[in-house]
Amino acid sequence: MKMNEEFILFNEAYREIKHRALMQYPNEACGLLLSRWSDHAIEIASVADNKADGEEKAGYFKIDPIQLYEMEREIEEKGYEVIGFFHSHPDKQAVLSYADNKNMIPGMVYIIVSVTEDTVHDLRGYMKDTPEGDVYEIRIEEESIL
Amino acid sequence: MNVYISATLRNFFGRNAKVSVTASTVRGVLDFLIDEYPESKKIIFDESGEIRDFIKIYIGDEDNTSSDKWDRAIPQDTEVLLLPAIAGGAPNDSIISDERRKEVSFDDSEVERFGKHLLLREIGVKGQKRIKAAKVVIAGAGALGSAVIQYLAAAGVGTIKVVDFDEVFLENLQNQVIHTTRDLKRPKVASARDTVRNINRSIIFEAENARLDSENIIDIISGYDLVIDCTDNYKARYLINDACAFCAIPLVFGAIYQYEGQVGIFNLNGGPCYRCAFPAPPPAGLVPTCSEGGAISPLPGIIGSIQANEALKLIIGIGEHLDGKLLVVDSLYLHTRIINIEKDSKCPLCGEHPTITGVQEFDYDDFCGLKENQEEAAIEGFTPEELAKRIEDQDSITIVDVREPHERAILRFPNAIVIPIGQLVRRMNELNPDQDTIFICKQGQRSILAINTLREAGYTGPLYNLKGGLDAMKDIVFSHEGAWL
Repeated sequence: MKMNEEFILFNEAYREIKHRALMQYPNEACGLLLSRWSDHAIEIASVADNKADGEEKAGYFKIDPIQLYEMEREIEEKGYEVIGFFHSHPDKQAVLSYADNKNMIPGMVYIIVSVTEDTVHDLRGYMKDTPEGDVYEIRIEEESIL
Repeated sequence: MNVYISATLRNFFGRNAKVSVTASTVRGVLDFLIDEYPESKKIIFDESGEIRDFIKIYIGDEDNTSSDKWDRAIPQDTEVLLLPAIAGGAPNDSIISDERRKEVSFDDSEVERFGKHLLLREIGVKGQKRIKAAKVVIAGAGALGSAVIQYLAAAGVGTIKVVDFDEVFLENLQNQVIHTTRDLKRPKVASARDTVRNINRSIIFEAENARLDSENIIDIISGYDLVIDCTDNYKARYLINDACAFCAIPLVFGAIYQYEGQVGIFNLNGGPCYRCAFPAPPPAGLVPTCSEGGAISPLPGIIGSIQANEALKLIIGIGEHLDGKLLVVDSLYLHTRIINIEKDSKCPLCGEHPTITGVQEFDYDDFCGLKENQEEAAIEGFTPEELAKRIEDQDSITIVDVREPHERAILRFPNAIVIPIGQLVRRMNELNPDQDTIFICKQGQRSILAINTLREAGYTGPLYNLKGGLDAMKDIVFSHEGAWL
């Protein structure tokens, strides 16, 4: 178990996640987390469409597998790798829900942000190692400006 | 043909993006992949062999995930896509609606009383109003109930209904801290009501001095927001779980035994129920109840406090909680762990094809092995008075004590031979088949198990059970012993 594992979130990726979460409010926003140089650096957040049905979007998100497939191919052409996913919880805390947990792919990074109408309040990261395994919180450090 | 493996799943396929597969159906593709990459099996299928919810199989843009499409022939030049379904949902809302919250107001004394909640960003005025609007049923005013009732009253839960049929006994005072010596022989619900009134007179306290059964439970819990199970037996647990599922009321479950406790949340928004976690109770008599097996005093305080904390989080709608999980606390070695509880699609109560359609149609006594009349008809027993008379008359009988050594240290039964249940079959030849043999334990349940064990092993001599066990025999004084048993 890698309980205290640390991931660096690049400023550009963080800005994109926040922007998308606010833009999609009151619906859930979602997307992919990409990296090129290190599998512990989240360099880019690439937005995907929330394909949940109409009103369900406020409390649920779904990425179309075919859109994911197309995004993956594009991403890989540019030399990036998918290392995880982000989504927002409008007016809710940045904690994993039962549905989030059930759909987690082992080894992938999951970032959740808590968002209200005009602010993103909290950002947390989660992983699990095996399908039936326990979820653990990972440390997400914002990239510091040196 | 080629199979494209999504980047998100490649760790389980040797990091390959494309795998060349010899197969002509989706089933053949999956078999090939699992054969080639055994690690991938656990990511494609769950423990019961069903394809995982987050795995999708596409041929072109056609979804072929459903297993009824797996035997169709697919042309060799097609590409099969193995993709993840990335999805998730928001954490649960408060179980108290905004409309109900808005109907609540506070006076100055309440602002002062609940100040420490109001200071917390996640609770605040809105959360405290939800707490006040909440209507909670607590089943059992015993050990767990003591902590739950007092903390929920102190936290300001507006309506608290407590259900218990029992009276306060001296032996309860070791861990049922809501009752005091002055409450002995009073109904537990009356004692609990007095304590709650002393905490906060404005709480609506409803005392239900009754034993929960399939006739009354639906009426008792209907219209409430949450049920907290603080009972100490399987029959009540299954009954409460089932009734909560039928009434769509979430359930905070708690249980203790010796040094260990469990807490879980069931029936929340269609999540798993107690039966998904525990499809059937253990055979009657095998696992002693808390009252038979004992429990360290603060344990129900710890477990009950966690139940109360979970209840408040559900009411306020904050934090992570034990929905679909079971927290196990070992207070002796200070270990805790959380076990994931999956919803069981074959659950007879909440699965896809339920067979339990109502609490009144289900035989809980039979399910929990509590059909005393049947068992007692099959197994002959002595009442404490009958056994006492045979001892007084100095009849030739054998008395076998099946209790554990530490139980015998509390109360020794004179002239009994000691055989733990696990050794009975091996030591069967120590019994005289021409003589009446009487089995004793604390409450008369394990002794039934002992007799059944011997019968199954082929023992043919006369076997009897002490009805009600030594607990029922406590008040009998033997003239030749001159002592309490």
